[in-house]
Amino acid sequence: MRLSIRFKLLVLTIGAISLVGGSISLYSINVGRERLSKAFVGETVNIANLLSTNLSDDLSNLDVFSMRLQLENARISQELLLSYVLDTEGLVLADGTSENALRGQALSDVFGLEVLSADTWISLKDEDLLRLGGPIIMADDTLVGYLYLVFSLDGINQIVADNTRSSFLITTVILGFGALLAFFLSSRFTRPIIEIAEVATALGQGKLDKRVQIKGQDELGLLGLSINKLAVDLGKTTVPKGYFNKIISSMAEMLIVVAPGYTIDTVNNAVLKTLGYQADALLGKPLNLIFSEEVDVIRDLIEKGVHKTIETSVLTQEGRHVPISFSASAMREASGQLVGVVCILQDITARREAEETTRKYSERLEQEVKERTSELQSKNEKLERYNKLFVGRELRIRDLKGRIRSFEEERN
Amino acid sequence: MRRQIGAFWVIYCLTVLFFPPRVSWARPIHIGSIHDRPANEIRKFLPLVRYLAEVLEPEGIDEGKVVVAKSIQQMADFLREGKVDLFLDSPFPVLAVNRLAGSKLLLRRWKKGVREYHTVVFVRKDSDISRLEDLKGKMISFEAPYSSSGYFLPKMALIQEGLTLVLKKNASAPVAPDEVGYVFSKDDENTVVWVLRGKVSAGALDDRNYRKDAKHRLDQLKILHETFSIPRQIISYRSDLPPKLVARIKKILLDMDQSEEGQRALKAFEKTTKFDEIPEQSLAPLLEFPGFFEKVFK
Repeated sequence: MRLSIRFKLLVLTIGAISLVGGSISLYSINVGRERLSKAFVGETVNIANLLSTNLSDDLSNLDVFSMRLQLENARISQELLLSYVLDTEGLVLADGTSENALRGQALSDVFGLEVLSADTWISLKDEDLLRLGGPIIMADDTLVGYLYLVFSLDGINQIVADNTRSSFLITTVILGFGALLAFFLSSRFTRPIIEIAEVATALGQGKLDKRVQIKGQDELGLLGLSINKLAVDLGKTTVPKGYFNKIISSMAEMLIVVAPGYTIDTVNNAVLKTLGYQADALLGKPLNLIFSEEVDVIRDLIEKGVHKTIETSVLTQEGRHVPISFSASAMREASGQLVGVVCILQDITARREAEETTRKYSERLEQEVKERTSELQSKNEKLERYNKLFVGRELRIRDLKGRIRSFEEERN
Repeated sequence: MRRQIGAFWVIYCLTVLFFPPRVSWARPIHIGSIHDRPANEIRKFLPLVRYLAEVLEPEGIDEGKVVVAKSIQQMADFLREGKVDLFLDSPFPVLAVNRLAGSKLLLRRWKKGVREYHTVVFVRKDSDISRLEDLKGKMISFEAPYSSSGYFLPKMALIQEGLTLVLKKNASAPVAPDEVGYVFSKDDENTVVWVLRGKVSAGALDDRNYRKDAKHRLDQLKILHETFSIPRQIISYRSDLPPKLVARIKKILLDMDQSEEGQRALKAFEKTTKFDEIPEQSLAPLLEFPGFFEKVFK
């Protein structure tokens, strides 16, 4: 399948935009997700720090009621699902509920046990939960208990999902605009290239009147200018092949171009029509297919460079001899190397027939002239004799008329 | 003449329409409570006070307000100054305020479905304390200085046993052998925890909270003493409140559990079942205690 330059450019541009835009978008989404996650963890640590500060006095005073209130107040953070204040032995003092049902019990989960041995805040991310815990220490470094908080990651996950969705949507819209822009630019960019290609193709087909519509001053504009100049130059120096072929095909005379190997290279319609061949039957075939002894003449012509006209005959496919007037001229490169021989053959059958008819008429006319001449001679002789008779009688008549006139005058 | 009468009626109707008759003595009704966390207390009392204000609108009550005092003395002052019309609390504070402000008892409140309760004094099961007298030289934890079951009632019981109670700054303060030191834990649960963890030797709270707050550690505790029962809560009124209004308020409160709207307000008001008359002898153990006010509210 042949792909247009416009399509290729479009695919390349959209591909590049998608690759770069998509990469940037994915990177941004990833960075954003990391930042949100880090910010959320930071916020939970802040909550834990604040709580532990407030709880330290309550732990010291064993004020379970106040601990409960502190944890209940901490529920203002909707992400805080569970909260426990543990004593130094790991028993729950407050579980963040008004019932405080877990008071006096030990937490059995693994992270809860890890919290009891931690000397700073530690965290663990489950699927949808963030567990955070650590020791509650008084200003004098006395350990008074532990805080264990469980946050829901649903909210932050939802924010991340919303951000990701928004980013994808924005990226898609931008890529869509990019694709439209790429489509527009590629169309705009390739239009002159396509036009130049079309003009070049037309020039190749000999349509030298085709020109590029130049609209820009850029390289394509310059290329268009060059193409137009080329077309003008070609128009001045080259006969278009189509035009040339038309000339050749419309020639009444037969034209044969002989290759340097004395094979037939080109023939025109007149040759095919006169000799009854198809073009394939002649092209590339030896010249003596249609000529017999004249091949030597042609070879002489080629080798000696003599341009002369002879009358000979060619053989039709049916083997009939057609009288022709043959003239040949060698085509050479500027270096003198032979390119071929252009042979013009004129069917002179009609002329020959006319000459024969003329000759026969002439002979018959001569015969008739001779016969008429002899007839005239005999008649002339007869006339001369009659003439002599008439002239004598005339003279006597004229003498008599004279005498009559003299008698009349005398009488008057 | 007929035209003049017509004009009069038009003017009268317009006046009534745009300037409806209002009771010139329109004022809010104030219900008082003693607590150190006013915001939460106001939230608790709002359903009752709003209901009362709505029903008392024909009596010129246009709004219901909750007034929270920090102490018995402050509440007594509020009642005297007319800033509080009705005061609702457990029997001891109500009686104390009555004595200070001259207010009068009105009805009993069944708070959370409980009509009366009593106090238990308890220690750890492994403690060598087996009688109230053994508390000499020990520290006991009460809930708060205004709590009937968490302070006044057990205090009265200890006084009746001839023990001398001394308020201490904290649970670790020294206690003389001939006295019983006491501290306020601020919450019944704290009292239980403090006893369980040995921060104090004994604690006192009402029987229900004792079982609730001890949870699965109930078997680690033992009851040292159980007091007599007293009404769960009592509502009193300012002595200079118009008797007609008092009667109306009493009727409304007594009938609350009979109407759907009243039941809804009662339920929202800490799951109160109803208001009823104060049984005649329910407060006798308190009032008949010699030197009750002097000794208990000292």
